[in-house]
Amino acid sequence: MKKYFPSAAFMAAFLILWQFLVFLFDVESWFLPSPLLILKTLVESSDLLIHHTITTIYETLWGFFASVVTAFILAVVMDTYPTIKKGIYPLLVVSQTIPIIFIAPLLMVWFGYGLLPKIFVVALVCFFPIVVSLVEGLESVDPDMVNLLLIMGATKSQIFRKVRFPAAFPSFFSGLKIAATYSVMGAVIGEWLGASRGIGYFMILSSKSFRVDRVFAAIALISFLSLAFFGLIELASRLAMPWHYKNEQIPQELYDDTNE
Amino acid sequence: MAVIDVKGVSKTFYSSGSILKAIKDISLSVNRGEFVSIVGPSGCGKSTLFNIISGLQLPDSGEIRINGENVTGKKGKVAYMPQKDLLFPWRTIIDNVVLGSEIQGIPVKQARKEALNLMPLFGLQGFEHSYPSELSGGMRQRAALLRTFLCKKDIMLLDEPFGRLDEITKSKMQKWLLDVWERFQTSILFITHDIEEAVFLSDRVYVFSDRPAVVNAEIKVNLSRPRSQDVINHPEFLNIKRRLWKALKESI
Ligand SMILES: Nc1ncnc2c1ncn2[C@@H]1O[C@H](COP(=O)(O)OP(=O)(O)OP(=O)(O)O)[C@@H](O)[C@H]1O
Ligand SMILES: [Mg+2]
Repeated sequence: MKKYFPSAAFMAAFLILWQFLVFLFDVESWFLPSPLLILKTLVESSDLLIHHTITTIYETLWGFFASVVTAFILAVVMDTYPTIKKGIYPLLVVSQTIPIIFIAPLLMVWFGYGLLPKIFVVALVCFFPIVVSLVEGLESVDPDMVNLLLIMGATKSQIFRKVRFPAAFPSFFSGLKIAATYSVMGAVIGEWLGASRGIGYFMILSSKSFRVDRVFAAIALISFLSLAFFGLIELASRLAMPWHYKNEQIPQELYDDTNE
Repeated sequence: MAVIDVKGVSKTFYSSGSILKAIKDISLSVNRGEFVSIVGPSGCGKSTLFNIISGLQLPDSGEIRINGENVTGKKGKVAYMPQKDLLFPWRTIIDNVVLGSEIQGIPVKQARKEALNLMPLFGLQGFEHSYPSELSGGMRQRAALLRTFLCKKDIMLLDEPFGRLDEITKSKMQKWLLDVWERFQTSILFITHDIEEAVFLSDRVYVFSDRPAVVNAEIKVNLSRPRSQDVINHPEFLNIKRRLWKALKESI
C-alpha cells in the first residue's frame, strides 16, 4: 500500500487547490463545482447514481467477458495457424484506428437501443489489448522450455497447456488490466449515444439541465469504477500467478508492481 | 550391446551468413549399464551432440541408434538434463520434478511420493512448495537432476549436472548418481568440465577436440566399483587423470 502514498498525496493536494481556487474566485457551481460540492452531490444523488451504475457495471462485465472469450479463441487460432495470424494480425491493428465513437451509432442502428450495443462497444474497446497481449505472451515462451517438453515426448496440446499458456500469463494479465481500465469508459460512451439507463445517460441528462455538479459526480464515479475494476484484475493476477510476485531477480525499481 | 550408438555424426550451423562447423564425424557408443563421460573444451559442440542424440536437432550426416533402432530425429527416447535448468517459474519445485511423469501420462501420485522421499537427499527439503525463483543456482540444478531421474528412462543424458555445486554437495550428488545408476541399471552419458569427476564416475571417457569437435581420445577407467572417495589417491586414478589432461591439452 505504501507505494500508493505519493499519488494519494498528489491527488489530495490537487483537490485542496481546486477547492481553494473555487472559493477564492467565487466560481459559480454551474461553471465549475468545488470538490466538496461534488462529494455532496454524490451522497445526495446516491440512489439515482446506484440505479444507473448497476446498468453500467452490467454492460461492462458482459462486454469484458465476451471480449476475453473471443480474444482467447482468436489468439489460440492465430497461434495454431500462422497463416491466419499473418492475415488477421495487421487487420487488427488497422481496426484500432477506426474511432469507436463513429462505430457506436452504427451499432445502435443494428442492435437497437437496448444493452446489446453498449456491451458490444465495451467488447470492442477491450478486445485489442487482450488479443495482442495473449498472442505476444504465447510467442514469448522460452524455446528451450518447449524443447525440454518435446524431448520428454510431449504432444502439441501438452506443450500448449503446460508451457506456452502459463508462460503467456504475465503478458495476458497486463492486457487484461489495460482492457479493464478502458472498459467502463466504453460502456459510458455507448450509453452516451443513446440509452435509457446508465451513467452515460445520467451524464447527458445532467448536462442538459446544467447540473454540472452531477456531471462531475458521474465522472468521479466512472474513475472509481475503472480503478476498482483494475484492482480486481490485479487481485486476480496475484491469485493466478503467485510465482510472478515472488522474489523477482529483477531490481524492484524496474517493476513497480512487484512491491507488496 | 550398445544402447546408444552415435555413427559418424556431423553438424554445421548456418546463422546470419556465417558458417560454424560444430561437430565433425563423431562416433561413440554407450553399452548397457555403462557410465560414459565426455570432456572437451568449452564451445566445442558437446551440448550439440546431446541435442542430436535426444532428437531435438537433426545431424547433417550420420545416425543415432538406440537399442539398435535408428532414432535419428526421434524424441522421447532418453531422459535429458540440459545445461540450463529450465525449471518452469510458474510451478513449485515438487510440480516441476514430476513433469516427466505428467507428460508420459503416468499417474503423478507415485512420482510425487518418490520425489518427496528424495527431497532430503537432494537438499531440497522444505522447498517442495517453493518457486524456482526462490532457490539458489545449485538447488535449481539439483531439482533439474531430480526431474530428469523421475522421467524414468533407462538412458540418461546429463549435461554438466554438477557444474554449479560446491565440492561437498557435488560429492554427495555423485555418490547418489552412482547409487541410482547401479541400482537401476541405467546407462549414462555425462558431459563435464571436471576431469576428476569424469574419472571418478565413469567406465570410459571420450575427449573431444576444439571446434569442429572430433573424438580425440577414448580412455578406459579400470577402477573397481563401488568406488569410495579414497579412490582419488589410487595410482591408477592419477595415471588416468594425467592421460586425460594430456589428451585435452593436445586437443586445444
Ligand atoms: N542453434 C545453434 N545455432 C547456431 N550456432 C549454434 C547453435 N547451437 C550451438 N551453436 C554453436 O555451436 C558451438 C557448440 O555449441 P555447444 O553448446 O554444443 O558447445 P559445448 O561444447 O556444449 O560448450 P560448453 O562446454 O560451453 O557448454 C558453439 O560455438 C555455439 O555457438
Ligand atoms: Mg554445453
